Amino acid sequence: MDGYALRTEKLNLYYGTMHALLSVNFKVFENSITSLIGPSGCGKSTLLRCFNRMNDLIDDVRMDGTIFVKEQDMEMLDIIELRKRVGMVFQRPNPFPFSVYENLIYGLKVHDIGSRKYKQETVERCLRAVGLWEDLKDKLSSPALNLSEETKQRLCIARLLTVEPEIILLDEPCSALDPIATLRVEELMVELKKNYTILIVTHNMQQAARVSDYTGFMLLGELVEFGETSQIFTSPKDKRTEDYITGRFG
Amino acid sequence: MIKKSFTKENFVKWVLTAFALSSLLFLFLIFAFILFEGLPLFLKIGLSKIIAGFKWAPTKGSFGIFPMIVSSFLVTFGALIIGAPMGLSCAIYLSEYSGKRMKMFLKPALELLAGIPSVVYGFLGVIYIVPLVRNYLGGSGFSLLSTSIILGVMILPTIISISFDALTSVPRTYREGSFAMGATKWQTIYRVVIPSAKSGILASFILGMGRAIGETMAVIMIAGNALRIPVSILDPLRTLTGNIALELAYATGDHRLGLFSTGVVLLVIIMILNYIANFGIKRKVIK
Ligand SMILES: Nc1ncnc2c1ncn2[C@@H]1O[C@H](COP(=O)(O)OP(=O)(O)OP(=O)(O)O)[C@@H](O)[C@H]1O
Ligand SMILES: [Mg+2]
Repeated sequence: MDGYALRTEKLNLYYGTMHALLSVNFKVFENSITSLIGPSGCGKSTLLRCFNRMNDLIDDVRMDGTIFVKEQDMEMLDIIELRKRVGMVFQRPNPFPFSVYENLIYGLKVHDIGSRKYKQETVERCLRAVGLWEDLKDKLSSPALNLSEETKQRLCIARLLTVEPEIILLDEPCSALDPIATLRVEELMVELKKNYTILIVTHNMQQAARVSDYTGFMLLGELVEFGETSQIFTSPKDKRTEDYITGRFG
Repeated sequence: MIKKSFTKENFVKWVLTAFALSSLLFLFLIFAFILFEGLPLFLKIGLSKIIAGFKWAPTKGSFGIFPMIVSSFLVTFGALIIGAPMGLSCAIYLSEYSGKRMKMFLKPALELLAGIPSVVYGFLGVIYIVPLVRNYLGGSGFSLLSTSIILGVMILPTIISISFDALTSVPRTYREGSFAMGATKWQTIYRVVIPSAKSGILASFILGMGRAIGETMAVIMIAGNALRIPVSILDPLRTLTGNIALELAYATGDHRLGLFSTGVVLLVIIMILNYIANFGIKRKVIK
């Protein structure tokens, strides 16, 4: 594999007095899918949100340690530029209450990119990338909120792709979807891996095993174990990882 | 024992229902009364001669209230031009930028603003705004401009509180989605939050208009009450509400009926505004 897309060094995070991340050393390889698993409240979302500084939106958050994006210290990066490079897909699909087309060109508008023609081409390219072009090409002006949950989530992924991120963070992207839609979105992720680096938080261990190349297991704010997915699921080194994946707790 | 408390519960329920219905009854009585008093003149003189008539000389048989209808709309739009940008800015500040402490201070201040009696606004208008307009812009100072300024301030609480509710009810996930794409705070507000709250914001403007068009006391103190259509913002004018308040005390016979006809027109306008605010706009939200 190539280098690291993301890396943390002794990352600590506090919500007020609550110590939510304990000296986390974590890495994500380029053009791979890495999943974060662990019981509820262990800090998976918190860690994920560090990578595009979404925690900045919350009052009373304190952080120390270092985060590297493509080996560049995150402190050195402009937050707007960072969020453009590191996009995020949320647990609940969150298209804006506009038309499909307006949703898709939102990022381009915000970053003041491209002519009308470029926007139209980008919309087509990104809808194709998420497998929605055939379904939506005649419905570009219909409201995005009327779509099915799966289509909304795909649309949100397409919306991210328009600004050409390098890394895509997904926080339980399938938890609002039915099993069949979940499988299809997983296929999409594998497809996207060719061009993007993907980090996914999931509650679903089968999902982690199915899609990811690397897996990190978290417990109570600590990154307990990190390694290749096959190794984590077949021969975990830590007792706590083993207990978790065999379903003994969590 | 159980049975007894049950009947007591029922009793409370019936008393409350009766009171609730009585407020509806009042609404009905007001409508019936105004229509009963106002309609006969419409039948006698004709609808068009009243609402499209230019001359108001009720003792000589002319009941044209067109200039007043125009004037009422002019002050209402004037109030909106002043109150809408201020009110919306304030609501945006409150919902998006202000800290908790500022909010705790601003919200009661706004409630106070809403609670100030309109005669006080009128008084302030006469003492400060009217001379200011007279000295710097000319005319008597009793004018469309002065009235619009005072009404613009008076409708602020309505616009702010309803817009604020609309803005704060925009889901957090929309904002997160926008920030996560690298939008700045202001881009998020004006490209996502405001469009998402559009219908609530429009409703606040319409309800503000309803408040402005119905305002009476402050208006008669500042508007100058002249019986013609103003041609400049410095001209005096008379509104529908002002007409009723000024003349009712001494009006008799057809004159009195003419004032009730003015009331009918006012009532219809306010009903239309309320209808737009409550149904025309809200239905879109549900869609
Ligand atoms: N905004 C916040 N303020 C205070 N504490 C928070 C906040 N967000 C999360 N926490 C706490 O931090 C810890 C980690 O939360 P986080 O959301 O990262 O967990 P998670 O692993 O994503 O859980 P889940 O699987 O339920 O999504 C939890 O104990 C949570 O209560
Ligand atoms: Mg989470």
